[in-house]
Amino acid sequence: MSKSKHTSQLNRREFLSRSAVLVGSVGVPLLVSGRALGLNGSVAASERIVMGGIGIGPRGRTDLSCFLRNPDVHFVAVADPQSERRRIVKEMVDKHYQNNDCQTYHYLFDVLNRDDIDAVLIATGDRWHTMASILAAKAGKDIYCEKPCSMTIAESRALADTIRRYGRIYQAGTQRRNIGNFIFAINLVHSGKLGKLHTVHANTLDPRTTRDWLPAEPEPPKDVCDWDLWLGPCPWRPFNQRYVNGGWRGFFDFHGGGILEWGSHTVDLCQWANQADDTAPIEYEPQGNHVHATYANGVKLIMRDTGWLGLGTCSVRFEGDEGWVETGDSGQVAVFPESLRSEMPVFTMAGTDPSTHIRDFLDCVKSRKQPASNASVVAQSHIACHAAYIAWQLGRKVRFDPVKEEFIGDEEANRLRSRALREPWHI
Amino acid sequence: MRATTVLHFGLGLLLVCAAGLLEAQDLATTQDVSQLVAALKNPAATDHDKAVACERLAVLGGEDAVPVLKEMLLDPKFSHYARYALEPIPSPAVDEALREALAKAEGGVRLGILNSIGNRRDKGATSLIAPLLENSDLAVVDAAASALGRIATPETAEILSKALKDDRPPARSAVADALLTCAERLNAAGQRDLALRLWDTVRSADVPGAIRVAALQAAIIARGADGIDLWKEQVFSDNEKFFQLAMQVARKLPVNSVLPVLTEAVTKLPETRAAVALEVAADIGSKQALPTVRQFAQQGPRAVRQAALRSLAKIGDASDVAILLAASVDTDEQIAAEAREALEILPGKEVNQSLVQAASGAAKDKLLVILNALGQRRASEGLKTIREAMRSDDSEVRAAAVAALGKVARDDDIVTLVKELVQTESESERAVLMEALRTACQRAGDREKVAALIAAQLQSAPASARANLLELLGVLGGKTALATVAEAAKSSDADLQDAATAVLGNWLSADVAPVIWSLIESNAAPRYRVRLIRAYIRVARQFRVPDQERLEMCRKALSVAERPDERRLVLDVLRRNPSPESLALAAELVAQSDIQEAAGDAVVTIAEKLNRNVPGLKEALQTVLQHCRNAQIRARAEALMKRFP
Repeated sequence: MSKSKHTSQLNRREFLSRSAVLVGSVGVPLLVSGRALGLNGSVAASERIVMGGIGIGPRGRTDLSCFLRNPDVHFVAVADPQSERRRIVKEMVDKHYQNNDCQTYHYLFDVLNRDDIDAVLIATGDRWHTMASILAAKAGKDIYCEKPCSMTIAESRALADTIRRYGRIYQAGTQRRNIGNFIFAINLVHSGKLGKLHTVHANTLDPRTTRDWLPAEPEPPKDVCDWDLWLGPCPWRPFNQRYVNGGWRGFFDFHGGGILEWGSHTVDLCQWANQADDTAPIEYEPQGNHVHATYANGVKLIMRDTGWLGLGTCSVRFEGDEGWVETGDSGQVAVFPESLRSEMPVFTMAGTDPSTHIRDFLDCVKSRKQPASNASVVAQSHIACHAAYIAWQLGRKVRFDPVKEEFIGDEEANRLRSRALREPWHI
Repeated sequence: MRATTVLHFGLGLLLVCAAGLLEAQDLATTQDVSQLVAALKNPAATDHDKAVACERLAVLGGEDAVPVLKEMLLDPKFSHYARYALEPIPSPAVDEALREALAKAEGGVRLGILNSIGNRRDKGATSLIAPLLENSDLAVVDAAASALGRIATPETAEILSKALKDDRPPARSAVADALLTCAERLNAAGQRDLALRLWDTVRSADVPGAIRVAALQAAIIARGADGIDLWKEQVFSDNEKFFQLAMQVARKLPVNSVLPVLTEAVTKLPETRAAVALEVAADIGSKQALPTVRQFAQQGPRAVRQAALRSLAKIGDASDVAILLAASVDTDEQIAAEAREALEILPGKEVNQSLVQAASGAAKDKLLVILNALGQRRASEGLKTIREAMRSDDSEVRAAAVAALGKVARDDDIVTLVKELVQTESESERAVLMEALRTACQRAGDREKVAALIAAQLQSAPASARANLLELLGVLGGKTALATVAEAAKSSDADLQDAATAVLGNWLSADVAPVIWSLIESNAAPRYRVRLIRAYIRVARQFRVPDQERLEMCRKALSVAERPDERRLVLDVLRRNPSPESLALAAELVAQSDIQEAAGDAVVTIAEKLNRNVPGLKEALQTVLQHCRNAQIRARAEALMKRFP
């Protein structure tokens, strides 16, 4: 094992030396107000939000196609440690604009160092989300980042703090905050039509991850797939093609497990329903693959992967003492009492569709208002998911102080709040 | 390489084992620190063993683990894993080990150690780190500055402030970024004056704009009301980034101080900026901002007027209906669209009544807007107006009324709409009616009653409307609807069979499964057999079904699935629901040549999630190795086989 396999310092050094060009540059394109530009007209070049992409895979391309449909977006560059992914994105962007202008870069710093770029779309694997977002914020970019946004409680906090410190607009890819059926369900709770809320249910997946390593395979040439850069701040392990083909999910070093995978959407919605966007539950108890949590206001949060009505993936259910509502990605809504159906619009948007969420982000880039899934909100919902996963790992009930973001009287749990980052990365 | 190890222990482990899932392996689950330390000392241990041991020591390790980890700190191969274990250990011995290593470390290892020291906020390392700010390697400067920023004492603040004069721009950037963290932490610790001094220093330093913006933001917010003048400078700054900052920060400052400045900005700034300022004023000023908002909603540059209409939609009331209605028929379509949208969401129940009043005698263009708004608002107050409009001679008004009725309809209105659907011969009218009925059926209060009424129309309805009625039954769901659609699927009428089987294929609850199976078994709709089989598998894949029932459904589906495509769908269901039984069923299919690869993949995927002690697991993997040629699947199977002695 050579030293070069364990450090990425060249990348960061290159960034530091190249960042000299940023000094003193604060000029940015003039931005216009919200939907003033709309989706139905041409937009002057000077009024567009210039965007770059970092790590655009299959989900990222879904996001990208939505961004491209907004005429006030001009997408100009992509960075990815995998040449094939760079090629696919360039082809997609160039085809859209009917030119050959999309620039491709190996290193994300080359996108971040461009002072013509206002905002970035980050859709790497989970392991890179916090690091890339923090680097982007420090480079003065606004950020749309796919979920999950962090690997640990410590990363969640660092992410929110950096975004706030640098005054950036940040939208996590938890698009259900901008999708009608979920909003309808939340509004039923907030309007009191379900009575006093007592339980919220979040559809999660099997929490398990593995510490296994896949068999070592020869590393491809760096310009085809830069394995060291792909790993980023994660612990080193030998290369295997399956990881970089999207098979990294389920490995502890790269993935936060099934509670976070869907909980970043569904727990997030439960937090919103409970008007708990600024806090997290105070107690977590594992029950098989489920985790039962309790908020300080007494509301129960049940994270579970079974027992749903079949209304689609990423379902949520909110129960009050006078009724309940359940909905999922199909857009279907089940309510009790059934009379509440008469207040219901028809929802045709799939829960996986990010288009309205992306529009919200673009409007906020202009208005400087906080978007629906801002860093402060998602930090809390991610902390709740991480805390639940920690309880599940330990196999015991844990108590949590959401203000100090510490477990109470449980050192092992507290030690699982962070992971040391591989050099040279720091947040 | 160590066999599979899963992070899972304690009660969770017991529960998972009981469920027949993977058991945790020794190093990842041991509670014995000495075993972990021994693994690190063992020359025969693999890289993976050591990695797992370090990750476990991060949770369990104490001072007794520090010596062996300390030895690994300077080894480029394991330095990070050593830090992974050391960083969370709450012992001064760790700080000493890191300091000692820092003095000797070079290259990437040094950067990592600096980062760990920063995370531990080890004040005792300050004097060791400070000289590194002058290092010729910019990565070292970056890591050292970041560590000092996180340690965040008056001493580190002083050191970093001096380093801000470095003549290397990247070094200044790194130091300025560290100062932001340092100032924030000092401010939180009660040292506000020092923090303010640091922010002021950074915002006027020769560093990148993003950092200056950050320092400026902190300097304004920390000063509160005393920061208004500084904030106002940014509102009228030529620099767009500073203007953006001002708009963002406005939401964190006293409203009474900010609102007059924003109002002034709306009249003085260029159109695009004025529009942003107006929206911010409305956001934070709410009712206080209404006079300005109303003024610009009626007249002003386009972007500002649009912003005003958007704002009015949030903070306005019923008295604004007239303004919005007038704007909704503006010749500028962008203005009109904004106003129409505002009417749909303008807050207050009284708005509905105002719309109803405005409908009386309204010109056609405004009436269309009102009907749409009443529908979108689910305004039951508007039912009378909508029903009257349905009798209009103007087809456009009638269509708008039908669409609105779909959104507002009560159960009785659904019957009225269904009768119109059955009678109409116009394709365009049928499309409008169906759109309205889909909406109305989703909202039906008594689904069974409405389904019975629609079912009653089915027999006498013309052929052209039957498929529509079946679709509506699918939207409604419930027992009556399901029984009616099932009966239609058995019909001798090919069109009815087609429509009914399509509806069953999209049914939204698991109670459709026995109905579909019965149709398959009785060969009721032979032309649509494949469609029904796929619909049956869909229920197993998508809906809440007890595990045993799901397996039984898979077995049944396999018994009738002649094509490989459907058998692959069954394998997907098995793969998604790992259990010893699903493993066994998938393994039975590995020998089938036309789905060998899919079956092999399913077996391996399920096996990866199961405890190695599951009966038949080894044999299932052997079957894969015997029949499968796909190299990746074989490699995964071989890796799993290593679990077994």
